[in-house]
Amino acid sequence: MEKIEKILQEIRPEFVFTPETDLITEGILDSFDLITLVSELDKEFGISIAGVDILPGNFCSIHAIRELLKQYGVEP
Amino acid sequence: MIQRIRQISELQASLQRFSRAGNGATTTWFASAELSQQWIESDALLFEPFDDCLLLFRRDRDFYHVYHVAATAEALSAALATLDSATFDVAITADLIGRGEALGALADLYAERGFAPYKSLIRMSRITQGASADDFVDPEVSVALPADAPAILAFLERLLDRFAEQIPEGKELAEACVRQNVLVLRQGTDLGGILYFENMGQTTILRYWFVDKGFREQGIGARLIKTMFRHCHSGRRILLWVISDNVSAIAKYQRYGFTIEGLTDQVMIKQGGEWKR
Repeated sequence: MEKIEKILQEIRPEFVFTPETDLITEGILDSFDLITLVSELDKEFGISIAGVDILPGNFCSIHAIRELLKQYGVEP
Repeated sequence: MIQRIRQISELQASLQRFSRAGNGATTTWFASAELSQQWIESDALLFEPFDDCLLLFRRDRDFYHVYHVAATAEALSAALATLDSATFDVAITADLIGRGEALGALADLYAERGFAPYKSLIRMSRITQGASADDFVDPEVSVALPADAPAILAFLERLLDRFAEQIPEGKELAEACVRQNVLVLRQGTDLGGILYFENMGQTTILRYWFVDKGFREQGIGARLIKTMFRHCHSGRRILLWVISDNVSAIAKYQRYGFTIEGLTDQVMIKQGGEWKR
């Protein structure tokens, strides 16, 4: 299991995640989960995701999160 | 200087500028774009920018909610200190949401700036197995119509604590009725009980579930919640917030399969008047 998926599974173990699952419109992540997710990604990859990047579009799927992390020089 | 927010783009630009920027950043602003838009349209939303912090204020009946987006605890503390000279002459509440020590530290910070703990709410969730719809159909439980919204709002205002329980505005409630998210069970011409829920993909949020005091112990609540379970049977989880010292409500939710998650909403309040100009 890749790191992003593992983090998501720890935050919301009741859901099944696929790379295409829409995490926002499917109601899988709410605002509180998003804060937890950002914090876990920061910790896991040693980065600090900026406020301007904390937009639903950047966290709407595993694929979108992966693309965001690439902008921080991380290859998850 | 406190300014009124007139457009959603103005709000979004402010949030991005002052949003989280590293470890130590905190926020209490979790409103959706849709809800923010409603508040802006009703002229209820104000903001005041500071260095590394943004305070937002929302007018709600006879008081204000304050929200923050802060890069550091020091920036937040400095911003909250200015409320001593603000023009608000009514109560201000803050909903601080989090867990454990981090939440305690944030509550301490607000307390240092004159806010007192008011009540706390805890989040509970119920994980559903999906697929199997409950066959329970109750012909007396009906979906509320928009025309019912004023009576339902009066019902909620009579039963709820406005500082702690986020009573919806009339327009928000009417729109929930249009979406068929409000269930009612009438007793003659009176509302016996209501249940208000919101669906968001695989998650349902149970916002209010109340039975009028005069109609309790008659199974009305059970009939309402079973009907809601049928309405959201394809989802994966149901969330709700409950006041932490409401032991009987918590026990009731647990009987229906909800468990405590560990996320807390600490409501802080600063009473108006003491710093009125």
